[in-house]
Amino acid sequence: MPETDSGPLRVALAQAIAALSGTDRLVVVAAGADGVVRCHVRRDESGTPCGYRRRPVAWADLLVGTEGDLPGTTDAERELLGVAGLPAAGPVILVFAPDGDDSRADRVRGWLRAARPDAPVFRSGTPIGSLITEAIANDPLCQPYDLVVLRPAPDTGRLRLGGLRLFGSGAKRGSSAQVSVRCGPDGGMGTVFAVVTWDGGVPRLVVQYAARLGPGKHTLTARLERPGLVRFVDPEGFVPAEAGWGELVAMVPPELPGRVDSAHLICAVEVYGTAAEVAERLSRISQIVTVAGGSGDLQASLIAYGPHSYDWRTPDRPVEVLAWAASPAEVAAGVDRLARRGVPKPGYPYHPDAAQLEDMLATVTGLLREAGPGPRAARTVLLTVGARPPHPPEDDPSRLLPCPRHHDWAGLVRYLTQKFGLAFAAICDAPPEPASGAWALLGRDLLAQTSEVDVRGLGPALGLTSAPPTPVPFPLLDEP
Amino acid sequence: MSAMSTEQAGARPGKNIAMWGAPGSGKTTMLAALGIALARRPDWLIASSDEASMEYLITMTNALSDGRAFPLASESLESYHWTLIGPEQQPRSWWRHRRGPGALRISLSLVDVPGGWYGDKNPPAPEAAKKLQDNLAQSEGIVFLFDPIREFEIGDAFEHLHGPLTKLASRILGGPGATADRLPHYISICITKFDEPQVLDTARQLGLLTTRPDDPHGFPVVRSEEARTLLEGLCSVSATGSADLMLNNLSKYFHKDRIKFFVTSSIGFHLNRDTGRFDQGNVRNMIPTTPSPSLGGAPPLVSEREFRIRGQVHPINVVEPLLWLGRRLSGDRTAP
Ligand SMILES: Nc1nc2c(ncn2[C@@H]2O[C@H](COP(=O)(O)OP(=O)(O)O)[C@@H](O)[C@H]2O)c(=O)[nH]1
Ligand SMILES: [Mg+2]
Repeated sequence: MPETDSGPLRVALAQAIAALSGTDRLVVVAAGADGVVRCHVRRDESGTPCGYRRRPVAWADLLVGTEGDLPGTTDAERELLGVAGLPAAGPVILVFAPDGDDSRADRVRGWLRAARPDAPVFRSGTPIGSLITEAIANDPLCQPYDLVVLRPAPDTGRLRLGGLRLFGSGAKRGSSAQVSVRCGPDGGMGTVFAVVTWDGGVPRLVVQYAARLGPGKHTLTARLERPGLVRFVDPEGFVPAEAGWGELVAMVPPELPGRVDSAHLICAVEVYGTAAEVAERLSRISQIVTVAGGSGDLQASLIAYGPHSYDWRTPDRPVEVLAWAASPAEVAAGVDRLARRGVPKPGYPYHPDAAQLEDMLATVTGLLREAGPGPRAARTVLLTVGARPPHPPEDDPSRLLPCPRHHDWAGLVRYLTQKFGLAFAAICDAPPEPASGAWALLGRDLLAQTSEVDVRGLGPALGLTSAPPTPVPFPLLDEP
Repeated sequence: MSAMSTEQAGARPGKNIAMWGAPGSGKTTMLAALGIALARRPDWLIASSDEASMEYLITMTNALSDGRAFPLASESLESYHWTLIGPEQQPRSWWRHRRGPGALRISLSLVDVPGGWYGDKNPPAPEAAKKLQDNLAQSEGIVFLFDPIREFEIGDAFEHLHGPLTKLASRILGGPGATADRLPHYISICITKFDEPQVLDTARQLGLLTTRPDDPHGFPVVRSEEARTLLEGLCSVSATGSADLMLNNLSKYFHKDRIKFFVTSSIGFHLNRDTGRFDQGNVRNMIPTTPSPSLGGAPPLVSEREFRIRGQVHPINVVEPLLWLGRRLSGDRTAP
């Protein structure tokens, strides 16, 4: 008599499932007090084991149950074997749960064993469905799982569909994986994260999600819940996607849009004035960065500058770099941080009529110099958003007090232009008419008014983005 | 601060000195800076028998050194009674700074006429204008303040001088039995706001700047003998060009040797915080308190804005015009 402990059965199920390949199917027939049930397990085209269970048949609905202890009835036996559906060949496991009726149990066991004398027999009271589910979940991957990515060729930008390994074969449930990818413009539909196995170069879909992570680099954490189920646990925002595979592949542009992926937008904002003025400047920046970032790969920076203090008892407020050569999302986060802060009230001990724009220019110069001679963005734009003019390096007819550090804004603009080829865009609360002075120079390539700026037109006008952007359905993986 | 009690200083009627100048030319600030100016000198001290005058001096000295706010016209007094007590005159030796019975005393009764009496859009209150007239007539010395910034921007110095001067002259020189052709007054003409870069630059362009070899801060100075040249230079860039009339007028009404020019600043130049010295490109010692109505546009007129003092106050030639008047009025012919 086999054991009632289900341990050996679990092992047998795991081994039998692991041994399945191609179109093999494992048939499990379980009989107990309630009747008889037939299950089978086979792998789908991605190699994921899938379990199926027929509706259990109660003894009362079978001849074997009603005909009492009539001698061996071929009708009853045939009927039972029909329900059990034992194949002539292939793996079979027979499971018997304790049955109150010993003679019926003996008969049924006899018939089933006679049909497949090679089948192992187990005695277990645990519901067979849950044992199979558990065995499937514990089945190590028999094929690697990859995330579908697009690899841009470094020279031409041509996109090639490929896989980025998430879980290798043998990976067990509970494993997690971290990968870094870059999202391109998504056309508002989100990027599709498809997990596949490969079947002779043809991807077989395991699961597919969509997420709007925003353009730029992202690090994802995926967890193998069980074979056939991968979940992205970080960042948030992944939802099951329905898009058809063919449709998605058809959307892949032949190459990256516009090849503007090396632009750097440096946003400098004056955090000085009334709270409403500062809030409006900040909201322009977040709009511009979102729009420009959504239509291409964009490096972005955020620098905040305020007033100089002219009373030694009040320390000078230094220029603050909130994000440097970061993603548009990081700049947006920096904008949020600034928006939650208080703004110094214009007036003593701060100079009411000027801001430390010249110190901001010196900071930008320092950061660009520090970046060294390595690959630099093809186009770098300094977008200054503010109201006040800079302090002059020395006393001059503007009557503004000179910068305590004697920074020379005009000289710095010249240096940034010659040395780094910077383009200058400015959004001023009230730009001088006609453009003159510092704002004319800071807005040399584009000068707009805070309340009227065309945030959509700005990216293309400054050559940061080409319009309109082509969405890229899958995440991008840059060659290291 | 150098101050003395009434008893020590002795109370005797002083020579009347009137202060006079366009509104905003810096009269009140100059008086307020007197205490600090004296505190920065080793020789002269100030005392008063008049409680209000003393109180004002103490308050203003503190305000200018801590709060760094310019004095408000409403805080000023109409008249001040002070005694300047100098070092002993003879013999000139190592102990000459000791003050004794022989110390020189200059008693001053100063009248500060609040701004806005002359040439204003609102006609002055008649009784206030009359008060200035009386005061000028009764005084023996005059401190006249010429504000070059106001002259650049508005150019009404002539107007402010001409009216009261003509009236004063007709009262004294045109009175029955008068024979003199000049007014009997001594007058200190103070070019104020020397700390303003425009004024300093004009002096530099005219080659009038020197520094005192013993000055640890290296502040630029225009010597008294050259002050008139600076005034002429400043007049040539005035807004109306009528400032040279003002100079003519002065020599017409006052004896040549009773006029002396001073280049002054009540607040002085800004000192570089790190070096403790005068900083050529960073001289302004005041900062506007509220935003300009046109940010980044044409700079608003200085004369229409409110300012605070930025750093330490180093008054320039604030005591000297009074000392000169006081010495000359007390018959000290050696006063240069
Ligand atoms: N640059 C500079 N400005 C001064 C000076 N003294 C006064 N001012 C400015 O002139 C304004 C008027 O001064 P005030 O003494 O009230 O003039 P008053 O009307 O003649 O008494 C002040 O508020 C300051 O802005 C000075 O020494 N230098
Ligand atoms: Mg006054």
